[in-house]
Amino acid sequence: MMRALYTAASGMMAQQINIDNISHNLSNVQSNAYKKSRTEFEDLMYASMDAPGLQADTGIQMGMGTRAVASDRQFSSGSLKNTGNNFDLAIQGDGFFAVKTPDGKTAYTRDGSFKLDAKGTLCTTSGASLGIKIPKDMMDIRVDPDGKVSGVPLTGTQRQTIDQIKLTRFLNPAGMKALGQNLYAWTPNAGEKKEGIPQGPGFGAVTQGYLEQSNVNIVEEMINILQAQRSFEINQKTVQVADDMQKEAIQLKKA
Amino acid sequence: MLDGMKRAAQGMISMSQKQDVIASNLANTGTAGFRKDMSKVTSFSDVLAVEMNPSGAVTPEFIQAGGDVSTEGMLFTSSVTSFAQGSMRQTSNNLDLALNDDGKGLFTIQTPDGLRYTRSGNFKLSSDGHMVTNDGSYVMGHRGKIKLNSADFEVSNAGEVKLDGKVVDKLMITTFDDPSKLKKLGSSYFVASSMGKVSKDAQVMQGFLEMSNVNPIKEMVDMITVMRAYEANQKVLQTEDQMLGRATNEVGRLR
Repeated sequence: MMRALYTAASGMMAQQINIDNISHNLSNVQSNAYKKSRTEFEDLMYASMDAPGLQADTGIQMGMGTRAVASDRQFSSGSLKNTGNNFDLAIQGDGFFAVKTPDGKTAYTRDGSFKLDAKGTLCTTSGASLGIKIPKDMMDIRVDPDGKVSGVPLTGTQRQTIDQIKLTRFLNPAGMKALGQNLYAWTPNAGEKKEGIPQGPGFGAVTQGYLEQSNVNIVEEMINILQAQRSFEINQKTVQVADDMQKEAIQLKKA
Repeated sequence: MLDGMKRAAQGMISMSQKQDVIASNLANTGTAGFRKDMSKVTSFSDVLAVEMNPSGAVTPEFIQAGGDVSTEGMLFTSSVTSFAQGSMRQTSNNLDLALNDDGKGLFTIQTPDGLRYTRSGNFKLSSDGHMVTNDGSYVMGHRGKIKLNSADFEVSNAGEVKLDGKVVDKLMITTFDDPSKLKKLGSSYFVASSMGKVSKDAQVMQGFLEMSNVNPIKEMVDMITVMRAYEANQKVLQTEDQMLGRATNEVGRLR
């Protein structure tokens, strides 16, 4: 059978993965601090047929097609949206909030849409705890850019420090595993992790009352969709032509 | 008569090999840094003429060695990789590097199997902070592996890698006098049989990816031409077959 059939099929399959990925990006255009991912392709191996005894030519190298090798997450910052909510925190710069998921595992997120649970602990929407407890008798909670959480007691006027938010950064954030719910888990690929105070060396600042938006760029994704669709079509045409050629060959022997 | 059939069959095989090469190009329209292959069909006597007398003139020795019209239909398919510059796509990702040099230079990669070369600049950070390719092989600089401790680095146009404004290394961009001698290995790698030279005029662009240099329109047109040539050869084969049929069954019909 013709190699071209499978080569073109590999192109179609790769574009299918590409479209899957683009649609995932587009469906998360409103997810807080969602980080877009990009599909990357590589050519497959080559079959070399050397022309024997020829010096002038290099023989023929026939590629076997393409494949999707990576979906590379891009940790560029999304834009910040003003919400006015005291417990909405955005990180301006590098770093992740470290949270404990309900099943006790540590996860990392840049989605700072925190809420108070029944015990007064700051939690993500999915219930992963930031580990900071806001006392019941405190009001006017403030989070400073350096992560210091403070409030004013109901029975006083003096502002008191409650806790300190810490951030974690990774050598290679793209190596983390996405868990869904805007959470990421550390993997050995993410490299060394470092914990620190916001605004410390290498760490971003915490901004209260803002949320980080998704970094998906709709225009870019739409162009990606157009390209993926055309690539798919063109490979499908190749399948058709390869099939026609086979048909011609079969018709050589008439019934 | 049988000669003619052989030639037509040879034509069909050559066209089907050309189609395989086109399919591989079209499957890789989305592969960053992919270099297209151009197939070329040469007749046996042309090849023979060049081998025997580089000027291509017909000599008596050439005719003696079998280089005449009767070998005209014997075809060789060969392919050459085109190193023409591909288009640039802005990604704004620090780890995406593109070479802007008319397609002359290649990034130098240290793989477990030795040095490889690539035009595909979608690099990553490894867990130990080195600049690597998708399969984890090291991107080489003039001082060896390039160690970055965060994705926060700059690459100047000259290829100097700067961390906090300090030059730590310079990307090793290799050029070859005869790039057609490079062999494709898949995964966007090339392997060289001889040592290359350090490029002097390579321009590195950070935040850009060089796309594939396949021109889909040209490939589609080629595909149509190949398809028709294939059909024509098939028709010749059919006609030869019919003529042979007539000769054997109708010329000397016995009652």
